[in-house]
Amino acid sequence: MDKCFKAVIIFFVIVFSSISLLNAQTMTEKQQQVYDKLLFELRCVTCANQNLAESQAPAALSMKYAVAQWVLEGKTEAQIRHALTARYGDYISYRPPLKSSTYFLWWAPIFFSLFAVLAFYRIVRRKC
Amino acid sequence: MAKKNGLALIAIGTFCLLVVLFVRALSINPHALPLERKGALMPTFALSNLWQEHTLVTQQDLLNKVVLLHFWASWCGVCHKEHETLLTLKDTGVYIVGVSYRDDPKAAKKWLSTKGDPFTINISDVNGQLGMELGVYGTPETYVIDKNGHLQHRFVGPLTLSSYRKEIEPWINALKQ
Repeated sequence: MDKCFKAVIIFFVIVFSSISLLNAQTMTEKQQQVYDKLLFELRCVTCANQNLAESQAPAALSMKYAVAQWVLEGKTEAQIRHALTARYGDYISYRPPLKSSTYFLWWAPIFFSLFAVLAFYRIVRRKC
Repeated sequence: MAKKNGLALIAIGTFCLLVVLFVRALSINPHALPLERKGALMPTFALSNLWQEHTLVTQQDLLNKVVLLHFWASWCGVCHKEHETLLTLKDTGVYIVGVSYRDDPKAAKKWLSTKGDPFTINISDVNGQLGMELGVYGTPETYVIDKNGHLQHRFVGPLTLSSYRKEIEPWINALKQ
C-alpha cells in the first residue's frame, strides 16, 4: 500500500512538472545575455540612481516584464532600446546615442583629456 | 611666446565654455519630464474596468471628449494628498479617467469607497502595461488626451488646484474649442 501511494505521488509530480515545463517560457542563453545586459544598461525612471536590475520600483518591474516579453518575442537589443527611448527618452539609457544633443557628453572627456595631456607634456618639457 | 599665448587662449576659451555650460545646466529643470509621445495616438489597450471586472475598457472609450487620464494607486501616499483636488475637479465637470496602476483591485476599490471616487471610469492596470506604453514614471501622473485620442500633455506629480489651473486647464480649454 505504501509503495502504491508513493508511486501515485511520484506519478503526479512528474506529470505536473512536465506541464509546468511546457507552459513556462524560458530564455535561451543568448536571450538571457541580452536581457541581463539591458537590465544593467537601462535606468530605473523612479529610482534614477539604480538600473533596472537593482530597482524594485513599480515602474521598473513593469519595464523588466516588458523587456523580458520583448526578448522572448525575438526582438533585438536595438529594437528594445528604441521601444523604451520612444516612451521615456534617451534619459533611460546609461548609454545615450551619439547625436547632436549628446556630442558634448561623448566628446568632451576626450577633448579635455587630450588638453590635459598636452598641458602636462608642455609643463614637463619646460622643466626638463 | 606665440605658443604660450596659444595655450593660454585655449585654456581661457575652455574655461569660458565651461562657465557657459555650467550656467546652462543650472537653468535646466531636473523635474521636467517631457512627453516623448506627444501628439501620438493613445496606444491600443484592453484592460478591466476596476468596478466591473468583466467589462473591458479600451482606447476607443476615451474618444470624442477631452480626457484627463490619471495614474494613481492606493499604496501611493502622495496620491492620497491630491484626492480632494480630484474630487473638486470632478465636481466642476472635469472628465477624469483613473488608471489604478500596479494596484490590488480590492485595495483600490476599498480606498475609493472610503474616500470618494473622482473618476468617471477607472481602469485596472494591475501589471502596469498601460503605464509602460505611455512612459509613466510613477504615480501620480496625469495625461491630457484630446478628442481624437492624441496625447497632448503630461503632468508628473500630485495635482493641486493651483497646478491644475496653471498646467492643465489651459490645455483642456484649448482642446475643447
